[in-house]
Amino acid sequence: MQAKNRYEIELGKGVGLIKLGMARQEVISIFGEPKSSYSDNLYLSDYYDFSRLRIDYNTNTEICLAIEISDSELIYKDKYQNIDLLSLSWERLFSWMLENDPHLDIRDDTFISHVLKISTGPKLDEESGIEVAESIVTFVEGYWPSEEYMAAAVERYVQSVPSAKDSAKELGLEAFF
Amino acid sequence: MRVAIPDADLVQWVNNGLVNAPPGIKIIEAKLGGTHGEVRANTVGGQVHHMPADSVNLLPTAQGSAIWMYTEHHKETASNGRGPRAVRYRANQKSLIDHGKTDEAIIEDIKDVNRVAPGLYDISIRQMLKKYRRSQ
Repeated sequence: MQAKNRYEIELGKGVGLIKLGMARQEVISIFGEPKSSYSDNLYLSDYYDFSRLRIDYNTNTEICLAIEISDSELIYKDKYQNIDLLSLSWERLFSWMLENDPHLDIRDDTFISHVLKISTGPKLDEESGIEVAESIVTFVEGYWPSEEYMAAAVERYVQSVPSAKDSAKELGLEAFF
Repeated sequence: MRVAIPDADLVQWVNNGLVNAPPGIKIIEAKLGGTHGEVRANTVGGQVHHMPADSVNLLPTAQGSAIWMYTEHHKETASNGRGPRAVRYRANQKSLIDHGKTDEAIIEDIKDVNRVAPGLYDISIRQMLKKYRRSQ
């Protein structure tokens, strides 16, 4: 198995050699071809390091908007106050975020700081039984659509989603629906 | 001779016909799909993927429908992560459930798993759906 890379996170700026605002081709020239990619009307996403690192680009301009890391072993250190964010308990991380940004933008169970330029949320670590951050996303201003835009998109989605019976037939799963 | 192997990787490969079981050994079909609790209890490593996501499915974590996945595949599912796409996807799923469309929510998750790894988790998905139907 290939050794994991380790990165230094600079909140709102980048991860390792990859800087927010870089062109995708420039990133690929540094990181190589991604393991896999996925795009929709929001972003073009490239996955690296066993998909523990994701880079989101603007789908049209292919400019880097955000980087998400979901494995603390990938992090060398965080430049922001030298805190290793993914190694903290969720309680400590959340307190740290609130101290630095009392006006967190909360979407369901995801917490966004437009001051720190990070979004994150809790997960239960199965081994320790302690809540930790599921991942850390560092992003540029404008990466997060407004709540109104998101709500309207959800409303449109619910109206347009095909019936389970039709979809199950297409998938060969009609026996279950 | 029947041998239960708690290594989800190996069982997944055998169940998908990617490798043959050793002569004289019968690999019992592992619980790679069902409730989160039973799938986790029957597997080692990897990650157990809730369908729909744990945060929106209204059930205790252990009782939610789920399948075992390779960690890197799980990371690529639409509901995983803390960016806008994952938040919107989970909001979509929650809204479907709130509108009484839980079947549609599960189907959308199945499509998403197939997008990430086409066909690889078919057996696990069928195991999960059998359990899901029995619980209705």
